[in-house]
Amino acid sequence: MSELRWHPFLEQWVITATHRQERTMLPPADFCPLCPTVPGGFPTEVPAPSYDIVVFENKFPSLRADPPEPAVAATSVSPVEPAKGICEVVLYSPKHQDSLAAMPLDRIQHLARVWKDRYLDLGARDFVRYVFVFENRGEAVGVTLHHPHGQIYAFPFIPPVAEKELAASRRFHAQHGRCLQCASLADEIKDGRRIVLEGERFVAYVPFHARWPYEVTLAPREHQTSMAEWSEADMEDLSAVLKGLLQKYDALFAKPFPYMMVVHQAPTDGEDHRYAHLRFEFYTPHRAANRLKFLAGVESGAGTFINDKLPEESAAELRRVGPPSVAAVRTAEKAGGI
Amino acid sequence: MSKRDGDLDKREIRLPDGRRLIYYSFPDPPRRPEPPPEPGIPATPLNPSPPERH
Repeated sequence: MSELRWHPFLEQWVITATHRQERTMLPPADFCPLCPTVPGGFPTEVPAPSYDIVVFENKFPSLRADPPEPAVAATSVSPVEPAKGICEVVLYSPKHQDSLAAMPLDRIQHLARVWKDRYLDLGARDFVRYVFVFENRGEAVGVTLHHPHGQIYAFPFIPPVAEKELAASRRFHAQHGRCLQCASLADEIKDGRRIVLEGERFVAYVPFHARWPYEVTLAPREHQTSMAEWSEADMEDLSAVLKGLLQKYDALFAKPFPYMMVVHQAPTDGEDHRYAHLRFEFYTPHRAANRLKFLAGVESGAGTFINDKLPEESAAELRRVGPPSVAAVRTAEKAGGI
Repeated sequence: MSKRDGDLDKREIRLPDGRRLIYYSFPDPPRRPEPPPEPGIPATPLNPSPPERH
């Protein structure tokens, strides 16, 4: 059962997807449904003995291209619509124990090429208005399968967080004649205290306004509205900055660091979104090695985040651990490290 | 179905339940510019020859 129910107070859609209760939950590694299907083994989602990178439609989708009619009638204040869209799973590697932080740079660059291809492919569908690329990592953020993978939701609407950010970016552009993210990044680079890692083309930093304890924004220096504008050189630099950042995260508490990685970029609704600026955002629930931040009453009920960490201190902590520079990430890999 | 977009090699199949699955293959490493040396650190070969003994 799946449908879109309108929340009239927040003016946004809620997806009901009751079939997702049946999802495979933290299976043992021998029965991972995202590993290749080995000869004589049980059949996984991927009917091949190996693969480079695989994308497939989610077995338990929140949105589907041919959705059922809603099982409930609309109310006088809340419309109901079929949950139309596409939910894809992206398998980063055939190796069950792999992670983005440990993968060769070439593989991460391949992944960036796949992301770009999915953005273009899904975004070309007439019912897709927003392509949302993301990864949940770690049980602390609700992961049900540990195999390295991300997801893509092709939404039939612009999701509310993106919509709000786009509206702010549009207003800023109209008032100041320049891009909000470009201006924000220029401020961060000029200040310097919150910079975590700088590549030639991408920069990772804890934003001045961070809501999560070790939140990081990773954005291109040049104005790019979406992945569609990435060159090979962009994706190479992105792979090194991304890998370096994730190695820093894992080094912070000397264990795999849970995060939500989301990509905000231009919608695919056919409108002019030149004011939009692509960026990755990392939301990180750990505020200390053994302490988690929860989205409790104030965050969930008032919509106001309370951050227990100063962004300047979080950035300093991240700079001190892991690879000291993007050049060090490349050098370590060439020398045979990870 | 197999197709190439630029130098992106992908092959699409249908799973038994009708879902779409795409294999992306990358037989050759993508072209990558040589990274510049880290500021302040002279570029050194990865496997430098041992110093000559005199």
